[in-house]
Amino acid sequence: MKKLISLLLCLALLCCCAMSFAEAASGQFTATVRDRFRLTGPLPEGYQYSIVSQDDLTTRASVTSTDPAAPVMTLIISYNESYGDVKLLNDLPDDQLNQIKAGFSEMNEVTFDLRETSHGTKLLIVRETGADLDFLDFYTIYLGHEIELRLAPGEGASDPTLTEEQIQKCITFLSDLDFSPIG
Amino acid sequence: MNRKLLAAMLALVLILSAVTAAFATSVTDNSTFVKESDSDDYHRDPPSQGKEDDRDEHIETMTMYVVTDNGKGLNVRSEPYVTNYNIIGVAPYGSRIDVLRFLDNGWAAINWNYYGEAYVQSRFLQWYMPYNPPVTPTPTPYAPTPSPYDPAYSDTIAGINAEFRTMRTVTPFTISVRPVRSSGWVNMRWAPGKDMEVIKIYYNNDRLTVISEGANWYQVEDPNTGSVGYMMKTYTVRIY
Repeated sequence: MKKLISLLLCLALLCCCAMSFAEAASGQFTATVRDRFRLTGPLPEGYQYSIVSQDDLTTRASVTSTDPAAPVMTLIISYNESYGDVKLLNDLPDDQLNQIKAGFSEMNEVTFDLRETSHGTKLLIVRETGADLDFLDFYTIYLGHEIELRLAPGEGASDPTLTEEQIQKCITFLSDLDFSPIG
Repeated sequence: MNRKLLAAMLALVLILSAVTAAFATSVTDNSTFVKESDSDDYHRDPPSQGKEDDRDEHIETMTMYVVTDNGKGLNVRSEPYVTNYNIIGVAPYGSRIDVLRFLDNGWAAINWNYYGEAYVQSRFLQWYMPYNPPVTPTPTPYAPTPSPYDPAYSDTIAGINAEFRTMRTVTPFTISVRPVRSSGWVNMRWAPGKDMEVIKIYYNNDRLTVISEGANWYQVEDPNTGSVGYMMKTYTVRIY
C-alpha cells in the first residue's frame, strides 16, 4: 500500500513538472526562416504570436496581446541579396550602417540607438515620434536577412505614446531571441 | 516482490510516455502557428513557385536597370528562390535587364544572356538608369539625407496643396511597394504629406492600384480592401 501511495505521489509530481513545462512552451515564439535559421524565445507575458505570411523571401509575424491597449509588435524577416554575404549587423562597416540609417528618412523625427542583445547581436533601435504617433523599430541582420521588429501603440490605446515599460518588454523579447542556424 | 516492482516500473513508463505525448500535443495546440512543414514543402518543390503555375498576367518584355542598396551587383538565379546553388551570374549595378514578367513572390523573370529565362529579386529593378552607385553618407555626425524629390515645404499646408494641384487622374495601373529596406514598410496616408495621418502600412512587394498621380505622390487604392490614400512615388515601382 505504501509503495502504491509513493508511486502515485511520484506520478503526481511528474505530471506537475510536465504541466509547468507545457505552460512555459505555450509562451514560446518560434519561426523557421527558409530552412536557414530558427528564431526562438519566450514571448512577453500575455502575448501570443501568429505567422501572418511566409514565402521564399519574407516571413511576417504578428505578436499581440489579449489586451487591446497593449502595443502591437510586427516582426518582418526578409532576405536581401545586397546583404547575402553578411552574417550579422555587427559585421557591417560604419558607412553601410549609416546608409541603413539614411533609409529611415521617410519617417518624421527619428532618433537612433545601438544596443547589443544578450547573444551579442547588434540591434539598431529607431524611434519615430510625432504629434499623433510614436513607434519603435528594431533592426538587425542575420545570415543575409534583414530583421525588423516594429512596436506600435495598440488600436485600443488611449495614449499613443509608448511607455518605458512597454519598450523594455519589447527589448527583452528581442534580446532573448535565439538565432540558431539550421544544418 | 520483483514482479510488483516490475509492474510498477512498467506502469510508470506507460504513464510517462502518455504524459510526454500529451505534452507534445499541448505544445502544438498552444503554438498559434507553426509553419515548418509548409516551409519544407516549399523548399522541396520550389519550381512550382512561379515558374508555371503562380505567374502573374503576362506583360511585354521591358527594359529595367539594376539598383542595389549598396552598389554591389545583383545575383541572377536559375530559379525564383534563394539557395547557394542556383546563382548563374551577377548583374552589375546600373546594368540593363530585359524583364519578362513580375512574379507574385517578389521575383522577376528576366532574359539572361545566352541562358534564357532567369530570375532576380524584383525590388532591385527600376525603370530609370541610375546615375551613380549610392553615395556613402558622412558617418558622423549622422543626419538623415534630405530627399531631392521632397521639398522642405512638402509637409506644410501650402506644400500639400501644391501636391494636390499636380494630381491628375490616370488610367489605373499597378505598383509594387518598395520600402528602402526589404524588411521595411511604406505608409499609406490620407493626404500627400509626410505628417499626415497613416491609414495603413504596406510591405515589400504588396500591390496597389494607382488612380491619380502627382509630382511626388500617388493616390492609390488597395484592391483587396478598397482603402484609398496617398503613397510616396519613390517607395513604389510601376509594374503594369
